[in-house]
Amino acid sequence: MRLPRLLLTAALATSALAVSGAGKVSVHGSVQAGVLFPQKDASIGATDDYDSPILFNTYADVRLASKYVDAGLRFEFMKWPLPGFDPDFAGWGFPNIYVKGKIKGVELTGGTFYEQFGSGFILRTYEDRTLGIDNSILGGRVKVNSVKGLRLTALGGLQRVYWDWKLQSQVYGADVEADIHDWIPSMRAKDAALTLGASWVLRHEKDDGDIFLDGTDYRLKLPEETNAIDIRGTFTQGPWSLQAEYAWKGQDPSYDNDYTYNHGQAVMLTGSYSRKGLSASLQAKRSSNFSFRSQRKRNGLPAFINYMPAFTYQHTYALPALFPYATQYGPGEWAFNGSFGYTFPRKSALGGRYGTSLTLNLSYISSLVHEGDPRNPINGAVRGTDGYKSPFWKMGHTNYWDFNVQLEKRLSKPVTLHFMYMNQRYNRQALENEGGNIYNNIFVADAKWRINRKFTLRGEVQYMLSHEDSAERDFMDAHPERDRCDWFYALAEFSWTPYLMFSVSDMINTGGTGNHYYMFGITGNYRNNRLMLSYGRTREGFNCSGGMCRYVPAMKGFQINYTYNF
Amino acid sequence: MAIDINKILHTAAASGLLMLSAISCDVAPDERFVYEEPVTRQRTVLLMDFTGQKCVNCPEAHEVMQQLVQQYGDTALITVSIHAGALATSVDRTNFERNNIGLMIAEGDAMNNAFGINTWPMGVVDRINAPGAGMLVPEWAGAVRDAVGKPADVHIAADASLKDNVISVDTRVTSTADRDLSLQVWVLEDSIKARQETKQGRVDDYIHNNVLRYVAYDVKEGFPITLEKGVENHNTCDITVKNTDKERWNTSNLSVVCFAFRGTDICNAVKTKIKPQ
Repeated sequence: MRLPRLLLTAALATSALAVSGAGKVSVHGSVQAGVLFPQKDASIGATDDYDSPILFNTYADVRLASKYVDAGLRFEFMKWPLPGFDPDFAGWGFPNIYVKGKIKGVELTGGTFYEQFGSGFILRTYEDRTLGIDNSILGGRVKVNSVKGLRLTALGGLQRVYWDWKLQSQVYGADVEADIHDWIPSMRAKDAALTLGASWVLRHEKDDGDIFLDGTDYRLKLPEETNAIDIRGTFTQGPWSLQAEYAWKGQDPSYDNDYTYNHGQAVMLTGSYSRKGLSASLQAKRSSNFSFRSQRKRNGLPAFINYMPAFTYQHTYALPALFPYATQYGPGEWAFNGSFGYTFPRKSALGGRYGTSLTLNLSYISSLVHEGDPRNPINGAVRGTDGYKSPFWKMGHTNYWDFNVQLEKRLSKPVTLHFMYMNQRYNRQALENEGGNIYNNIFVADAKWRINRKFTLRGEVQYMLSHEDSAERDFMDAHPERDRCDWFYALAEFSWTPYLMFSVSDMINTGGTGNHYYMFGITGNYRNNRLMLSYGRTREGFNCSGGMCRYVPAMKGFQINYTYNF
Repeated sequence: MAIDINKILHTAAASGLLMLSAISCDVAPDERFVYEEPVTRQRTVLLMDFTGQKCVNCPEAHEVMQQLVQQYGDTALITVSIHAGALATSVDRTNFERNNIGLMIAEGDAMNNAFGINTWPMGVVDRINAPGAGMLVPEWAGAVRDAVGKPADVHIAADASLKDNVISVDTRVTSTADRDLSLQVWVLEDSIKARQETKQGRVDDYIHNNVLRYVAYDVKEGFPITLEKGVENHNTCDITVKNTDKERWNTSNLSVVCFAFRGTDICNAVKTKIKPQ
């Protein structure tokens, strides 16, 4: 369903009228454009033909806010999108428009909105432009916050899947969250807080009757309603915090679970401690069959109703980010994360004159064990069965491992150093369905020299020592065109605060092809405008954020990125 | 403020009821399979499988195609394996001495890009040059069934013969109304032994069938033909058998697929073996 123009006109008129009667109105907005002039470069595999010599993603939004009424509108133009986005991503129009009324703790939204229940196990709609995710809901939402310590949310509507709002697929949900400490003064007296929450989401999707058992005249009867429930609690006292969450999902045969009928479950436990100069956290999560989409035939990034929090460190350095982890929604996983941060105080032996920060992080993720040999009675395939059994406590092969230690030391007033060592294991077979295991040792050194109040020079040197198991070695031997093994990366940045920054970098595949991925950039800031011009090569790989990954093909060309906020 | 036990109990009871109502949506195992009457064949359907030798999930799609051909017969369903995209190996990388045989031709990759396909295997049923028309494997059976039962307003027949390493293809197209169409002719090859990644590892002598080897006319435009109602349009084209250091066709395993299309819809198709003259 295309967003009807009538709705757009009606919403604009309503919001204009409503806002005009609501007293003082503030207007905010932004413009963002990413442009690529692609060039072919066979040496890095950038050989794709594009429909246009210029590819760009453009967003412009305006938000009106007043005491009682808010309204917003976003225009997007992606007719010739940047490389690597799904074909359905291409298009243009007004996919986001809303009017929100607020009075006495009650908030009513009509139009498109974003929402999250708890950690997002059963509902999280959000926007991430680098990944091409916008799974907002077009419909209605009411939030009630009139009673102290109690928050209620109810919503319903159609989910955006690129430029499609499928009428046959609807999402409904409700959430209640209670701050128990607001009702028990003795808890507050002990600096303790307890928040309990519960959520429910219903996905209705019509059964089109078109999923057949291959080679037969039998089709699957698919449940049109899928319910999901989430309960959670957070307890904090002083520097300590403990969080637990459990979610359950009803039958949801989909592409992600090979159209099997088992229920899904997810559980997460987090404990943390934090005080000035010291922080530590431990997390564990188990999920099985917990992909929850508004369209069961979809794969990849679109149509997710839920979100599984990422348990891996979000690396910002180039080489550690070469092998990012993608959360395994359908097959499930056991995930663990531990982190520790400590700042050695000033004038101590290790802290020196300015203090020293130490950070340790460990992530370990394994697959689940799938037992049994489920076969349907019609053609013997797994489709239509309850799927494999996954004993709760059993762990399968290692999907991913990342241990990193980071040290930040200010040597003198103008000079700061940052070092990182990382040990990583990446199971390409489990995550990309090809190859084997890759083991990396990565070293990073980052130095910043603030020459004076205006000028700063920063440099990075990174090296990745890599080795492969026999399966990965065989796979890469068969594909000599691919980059493999060791990498070297260097970057230099010169900033004239706050106006200009020049950067030059090169990433070299020293262990295989010898390819250079160079990039030259200049960034300018003036008032609310930011313009970045760059030219260079981008390696084929995955762009990940929060465990969600988008494949990005090899690219070369001139890029423009512009943002303006008002 | 005192804790209201009644409120908590009510909440717990409501949660329990919610859970029960959720479970009641379950489809019992004996209700999951619904028999549908077989469809009557009205046309020949073309199923394009976009595949790659480095794609471990692709062999499963090859099995699904075999199952569908067994179900509908090879006169009702033509399957074509089009090697394309990031997981395919180009014919340019072929090295026969090292048993490294690539199966992707540029025209196949161009079709892949025209459909906007970026995951493999992906199938397309009776469509051409239609971005977003790709379907994941579980949808193929339903789409083929739907297409087989659609009435055809265009009929196509073809003969192909081989003489002096040249394949002569003779196509005859008729229509129930006056219309402008486009014609396309492909050469397929069966029983090519070449590498294939599978979930169990690499297989060096995997048997590749229905592999797209040659596209006779422009990939997007085809060969324009104008049909008059009930009048047979006759067309011939000659294709030279490839025997280079990159491609060696085995003429006894070749077949020809001809299809007519209008816009992004394929109207009808036919597959014929090549007869030696």
